[in-house]
Amino acid sequence: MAEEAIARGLIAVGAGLAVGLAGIGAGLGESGIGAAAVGATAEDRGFFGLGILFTVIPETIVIFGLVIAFILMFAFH
Amino acid sequence: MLLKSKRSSWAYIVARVKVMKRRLIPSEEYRKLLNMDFNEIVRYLEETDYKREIDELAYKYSGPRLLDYALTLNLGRTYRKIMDVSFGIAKDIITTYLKRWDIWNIVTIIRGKMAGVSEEEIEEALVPVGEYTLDFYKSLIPKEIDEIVKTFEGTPYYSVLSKVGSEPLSIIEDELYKIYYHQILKERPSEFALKLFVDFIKMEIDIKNIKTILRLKREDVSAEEIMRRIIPGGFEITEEEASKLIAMSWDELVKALEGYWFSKGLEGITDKSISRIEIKFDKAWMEVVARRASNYPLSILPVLQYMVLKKIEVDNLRTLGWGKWQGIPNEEIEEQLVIL
Amino acid sequence: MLKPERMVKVSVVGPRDHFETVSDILYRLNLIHIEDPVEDEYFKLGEPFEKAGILSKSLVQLRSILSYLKLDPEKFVPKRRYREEEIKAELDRKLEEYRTEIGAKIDRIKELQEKIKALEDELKVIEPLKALGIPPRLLKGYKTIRAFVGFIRADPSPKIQSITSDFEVFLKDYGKEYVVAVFVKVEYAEEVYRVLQELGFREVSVPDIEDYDSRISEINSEISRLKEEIATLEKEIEDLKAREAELMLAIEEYLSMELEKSELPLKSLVSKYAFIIVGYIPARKFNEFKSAVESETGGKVTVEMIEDEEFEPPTKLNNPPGVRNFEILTLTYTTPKYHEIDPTAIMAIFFPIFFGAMLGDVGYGAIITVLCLFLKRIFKTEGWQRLLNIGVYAGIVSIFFGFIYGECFGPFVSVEEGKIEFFKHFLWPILHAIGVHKFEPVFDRVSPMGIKVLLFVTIVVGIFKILWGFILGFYTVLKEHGFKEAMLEKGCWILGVLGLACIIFGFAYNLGVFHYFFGVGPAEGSGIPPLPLPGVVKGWQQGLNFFYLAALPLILIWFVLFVMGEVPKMGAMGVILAVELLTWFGQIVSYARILAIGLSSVYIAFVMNFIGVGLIDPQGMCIPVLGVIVLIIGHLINLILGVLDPGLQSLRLHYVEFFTKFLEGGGVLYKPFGRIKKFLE
Repeated sequence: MAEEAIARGLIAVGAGLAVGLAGIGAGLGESGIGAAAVGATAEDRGFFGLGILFTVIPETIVIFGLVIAFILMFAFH
Repeated sequence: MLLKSKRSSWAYIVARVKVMKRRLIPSEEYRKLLNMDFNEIVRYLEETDYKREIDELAYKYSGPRLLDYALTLNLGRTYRKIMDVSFGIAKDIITTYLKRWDIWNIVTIIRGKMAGVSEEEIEEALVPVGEYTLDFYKSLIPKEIDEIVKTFEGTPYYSVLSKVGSEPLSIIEDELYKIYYHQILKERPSEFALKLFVDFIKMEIDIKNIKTILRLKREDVSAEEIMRRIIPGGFEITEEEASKLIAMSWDELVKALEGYWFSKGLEGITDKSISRIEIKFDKAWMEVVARRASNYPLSILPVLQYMVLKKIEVDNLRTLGWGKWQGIPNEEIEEQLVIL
Repeated sequence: MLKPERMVKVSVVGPRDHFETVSDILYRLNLIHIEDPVEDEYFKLGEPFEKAGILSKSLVQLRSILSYLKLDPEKFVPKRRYREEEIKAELDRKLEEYRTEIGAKIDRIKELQEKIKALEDELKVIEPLKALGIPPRLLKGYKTIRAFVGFIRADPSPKIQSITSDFEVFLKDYGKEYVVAVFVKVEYAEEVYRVLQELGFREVSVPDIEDYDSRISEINSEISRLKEEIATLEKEIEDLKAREAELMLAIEEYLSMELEKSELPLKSLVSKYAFIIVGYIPARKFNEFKSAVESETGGKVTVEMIEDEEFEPPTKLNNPPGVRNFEILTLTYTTPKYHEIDPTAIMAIFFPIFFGAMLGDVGYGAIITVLCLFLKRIFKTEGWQRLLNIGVYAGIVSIFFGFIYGECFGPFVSVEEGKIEFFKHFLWPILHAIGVHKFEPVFDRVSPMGIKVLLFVTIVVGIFKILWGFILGFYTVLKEHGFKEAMLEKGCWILGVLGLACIIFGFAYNLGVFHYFFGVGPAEGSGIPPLPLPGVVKGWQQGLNFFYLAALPLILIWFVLFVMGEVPKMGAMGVILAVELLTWFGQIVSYARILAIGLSSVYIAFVMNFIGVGLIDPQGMCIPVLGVIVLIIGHLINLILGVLDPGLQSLRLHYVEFFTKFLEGGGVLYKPFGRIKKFLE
């Protein structure tokens, strides 16, 4: 019983790490792109759409993290 | 450590400058511009990046004065903007780079005073992006030349400026630029970002030197005199190299040039017109700058590249406008343009 | 739909004395998209017609005045329009009037502003001197004494002391600095000056005035007088603007039109006697165009269709009205080339669906819809109208999904009679009052099962969209380069992605997803290993299902085709590029964001409701005001996020995961020679 509880706990920690670390990674990726996007938009409003779009591209990493978290939570309980 | 990344600060200014670069007049357009008359050119510019300046001035000014003023104003504002929106090391470098305009402004004022140009027109030619403000220059303009020189007491320029009157202004100008370059080169760059900048400046010196050598050789100026005009601290053409080149005959000189980094621009150097040769060098230089800028996209180089390109554009438009105004044939104007 | 409008390449050829007439006709027809010509030995780029110079000059002056008056032709909505004849009759007189009336006034205003600035500068000098309290006549005009007056960072006395003891310093605090007056003997002046400079001394020149106070009041009254004059002038200009705005803009339009006509030669080739214009027009307009040009020039000018190797027409997107709104989204990504597929119609269907599926909230959806409808009445420009229409569609679809998910400003709670959950939805009392005691969403995306189902559905959608993208790409390549190219470039990826899909399905099958949906296969928790990796997973044979078996040949064929396509291009190392298959896997999983973004928004709403309702609850904290504030601010933030994030992510799912498969872009938009008049009839 106790072992199972520990296992469940560890799975939850793993899921948290998956999302959290992915988030940090995406944030680092977005910082440079975001700066460039803001620069381009400041110069030409037309870049607004594309700029925001490029900025959110690294967000996929977070989605991966989230999916991993889901799989951890649901497939391995 | 990771969070202290400098990438994003470069990304910002470089992205901004790249967008600005897209707005430069594309080279194909010069064909059309050449077929237009003066007023149409001004109107064409009114529909481009120069809109703000021309709109501001056109209710009052017209003719070449409108064009000149608008171009100068736009150039100054563009540089000022780049300086204002950058930060960190980028700002330092840009500020240092733009100090060259102090020399331009000082020389313009003195030259204008000597030629008796009206105060307004002197003011219109200023590009106040360096260390001193427009208000400072405005306060200089009404003064006498020796008073103007005196205001620079205590600055590195003073010793050269005090020779105004006893030496030709072109020599003084050269000397002032030497001081400017010396100020940049005297510090040993520790950071890579700075080294890229210093190398850029050294290459610029090379181009200037080689142009000087070729032009003065053509005019049969004595070796010593040429040497006096050489700016020390080039990338490949150091003072030593320069003195070797100066000692050569024209044909030897042309041959020797092939080994340098800018050698791509040298085909057809037999050309009689020295101005056409100079344009070739400018083009070769810009090619190298463009290549280096794309090799180091997150550095000062794309910014410097844009600043030089902008200057070239403004010079082109001025040449074009004045040529049209004076009724010079298209072919002759075209030869004077640096179309990349 | 799906394809840009069909174009034909035409040439317009005629004698040069008809050039101006042709220019008028073409401009009026507003049909031909002119291609920039290439000069050759006989045909050179033309020079603008004579009138272009004078038109340009007037135009530049007029636009300068318009810009001072802040009249933007793009934004201004005219109340009346003018006829061209009216403009022609008044043109010169009006231009002259504007030049002298407005131009002179602007000039005068600038002059006055300069004066004000000079006076203000003088004030900046006088005020510190006044603070110093020494009359101006005592600050200058000495023969043997040098007086330094100005600003300084610190008291210079100690340093001057070391040069001479015969000096006088007056110092007064002034902002961050001090005002200072130093009197020394002339012979020490230079040394003292150097000392002062070390302390950041800035000299000010003492004005020739008698008394500070009288001069200050003089300056102030002068400034207010100048300001009044400026105000009168501005009022006059403002009146003129109100009276003449439409006419000025009409003149601007007239001049611009005339100018564009007279610059046609810059886009055409001329020889000594003839001119040639080459361009593209929509195919269905060809006959109309040809007969108009030829009949109006008496047959002197001919219009021919050209069958050319170089056939690169501009793109004129061709979509039905509702779909047309979405063109801005496509164009933000890129302009499709003429030969390519225009995905606007597909986007028009899936963009709102994805958006709705993510936001899925009756309350937020309704707010977005109403807000967009309201803003449509304020922002009249075409771009805004289109964007807001998209907002309306997206809002409506969100409402629809809101009913499916059962969410309105957060999740509905299933309420059993008599038993109220701790967390109450604020709509609950209303529903309770009208007799609804038990309600459950059609599909609950917050429940564990809901999450699993939605995850599976989004991934199926992902597989479907990515395959679709490759099929469209296959079609485009097939049209341009033939079957073999298409098969090697896009077809192999279709097989590869199918293989991936089978693996994903196989995985899901073993997890019991198919049991849940269709009642086939192992149920949840059957203990079958999801991923049957031989040697790694114990009892892998059990996990081997139909999907895994189907995946094997698909992946094999894909790999063979891939190697056939890539190795000739990239060399043997090209094989490494096969890892790109993993990218597509990533892109399929990327569709899971439809679930993820939605859930985050649900949970933010949940938390806000939880706190807000808890605060309002009479049996709880009972601070209704604070509760309402929390609810309003919380939902406002969530709404902003709920517009931005689903919007962007939905867009991204199209741009990155879909368009890249078939759309190269970089086309040129169709822009015919001519214009739609706005200020002229």
